[in-house]
Amino acid sequence: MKIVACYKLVPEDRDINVNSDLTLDLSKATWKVGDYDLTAIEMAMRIGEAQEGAEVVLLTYGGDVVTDQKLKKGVYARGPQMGYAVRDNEAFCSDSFGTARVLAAAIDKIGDVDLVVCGEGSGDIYSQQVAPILATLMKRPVVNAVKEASAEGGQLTVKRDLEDAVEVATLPLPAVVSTTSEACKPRIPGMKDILAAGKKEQVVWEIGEVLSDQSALRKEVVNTLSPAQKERARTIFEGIDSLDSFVDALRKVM
Amino acid sequence: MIAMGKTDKALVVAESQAQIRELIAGAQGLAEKTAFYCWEKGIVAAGDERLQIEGDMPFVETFPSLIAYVEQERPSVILLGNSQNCRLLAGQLGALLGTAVLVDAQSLTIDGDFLVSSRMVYGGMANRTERVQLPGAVAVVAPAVFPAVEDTQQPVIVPVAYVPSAIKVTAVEEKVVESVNLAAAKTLVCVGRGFAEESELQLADDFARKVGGEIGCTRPISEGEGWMSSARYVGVSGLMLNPDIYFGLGISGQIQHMVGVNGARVVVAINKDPKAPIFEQCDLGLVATVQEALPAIVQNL
Repeated sequence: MKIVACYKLVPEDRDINVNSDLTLDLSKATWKVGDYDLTAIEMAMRIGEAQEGAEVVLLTYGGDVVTDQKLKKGVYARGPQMGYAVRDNEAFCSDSFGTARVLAAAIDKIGDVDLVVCGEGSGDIYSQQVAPILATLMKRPVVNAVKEASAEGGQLTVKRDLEDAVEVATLPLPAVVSTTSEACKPRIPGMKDILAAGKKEQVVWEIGEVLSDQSALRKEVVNTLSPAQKERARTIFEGIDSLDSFVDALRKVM
Repeated sequence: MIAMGKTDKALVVAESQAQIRELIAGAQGLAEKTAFYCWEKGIVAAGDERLQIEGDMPFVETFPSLIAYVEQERPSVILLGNSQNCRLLAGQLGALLGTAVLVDAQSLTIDGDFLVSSRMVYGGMANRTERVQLPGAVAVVAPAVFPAVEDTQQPVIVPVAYVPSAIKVTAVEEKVVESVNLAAAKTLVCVGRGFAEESELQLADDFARKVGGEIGCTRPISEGEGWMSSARYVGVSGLMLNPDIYFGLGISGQIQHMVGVNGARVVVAINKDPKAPIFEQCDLGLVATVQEALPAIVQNL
């Protein structure tokens, strides 16, 4: 059994600044792996570890950062045997359809993939659409909101965490799933795992090697603006000794 | 939102009557004709056509039938409710129509050949306006964007051929849902990293009881520590709150969190760090630890 776990490198949101015209400044942002994707990798590992001889490999799509050694180690240390990356300088303006198209082509190229596991949504844009789109492009069954999954006899059994119920369902392999954000706690890699991860193979494909025709319709971003913050009175009391004055002021605004 | 133009046919899909009524209202502003599929049974006397799939089955098992319907009928715009199942169907329809799906849409308008929506990105840090080409646009709509339609006219019943599903639901387990509606809270008490131990949350509980507030938290408290359910986390995509008074307790004031409470009439902050960004964005602040300040306030207020 071969399982592919997908992840996306996203800008660290703590490093994003708001410009005076309310546009975002991402230029100082470092990169990190999307939080939800670590959950997907962990679920892929757990399904794989329960199957003798199963192989878990990683797949990402992004700019030059996909080969950053420190980031690679941080992800590959979570257990998978090896991985693949599709490099594209235009990846940052891809939408969920475009990304799904690239991943579907890469999964085809990897070959013999029984299961694809994606996170709940990307850590930055969080559209939660890549898994169902890529599954449909590959003509494979798909479910989202998966909190538990196990494979047996060419079939996947999942528990889906829906709004008001947990649904148990089966789907035939090969298949695609996306997890919930709380499905499982990603393992914390030890120093040995991190050192070993540096030596794990990462196959890097340029976008042209995966998709010959990249002319998909794109969702156009008209603008991305931080909402203006209201002006506030900013009456600040310093220290616990000023508690009485604070409580007086609080009574007046309540 | 006022639609600037109209397209010919809309399809609306949702699990519940409550959702479908909002979406039909939205679709009627965007298209000349509205067909809908509501998984929940019961009368919905609105819209032009109601799709019906014979037999009782879980919502997810109706998807192949609905996808086949869309493949044949090609509605120019498809609106879906805000649920896990609808998001799953939306992606499959998007792939079929070759389009990226608009999600968490807080508004929808037609501008020329485009369906335009706005939504939050980067964890609520920014609003993004984006557009996709018509016909063949798919959008998952946030709750309460459109007012629900009343019963006015009986729709024509349109049978949809059943297509078997590869996904089979074998059991449905009850789930204990913590029902908390932060959006309805007049007074909101939010807890952040200033609380060092789960047991200290009692201080916030006592305080919330004193001021008659609902308790929320920042992302590290729910997703990091797991001390509160994600239903209480403020700053999650789509959750914009307009409480009368907001209390930020031990909260630094990261922008993703503060954007979610921008609509509050009064923002009150308690934090031990005088340099915490929340003091730049509050009406009233106290520089002190929550451990020291909260019991004293509960006693004196």
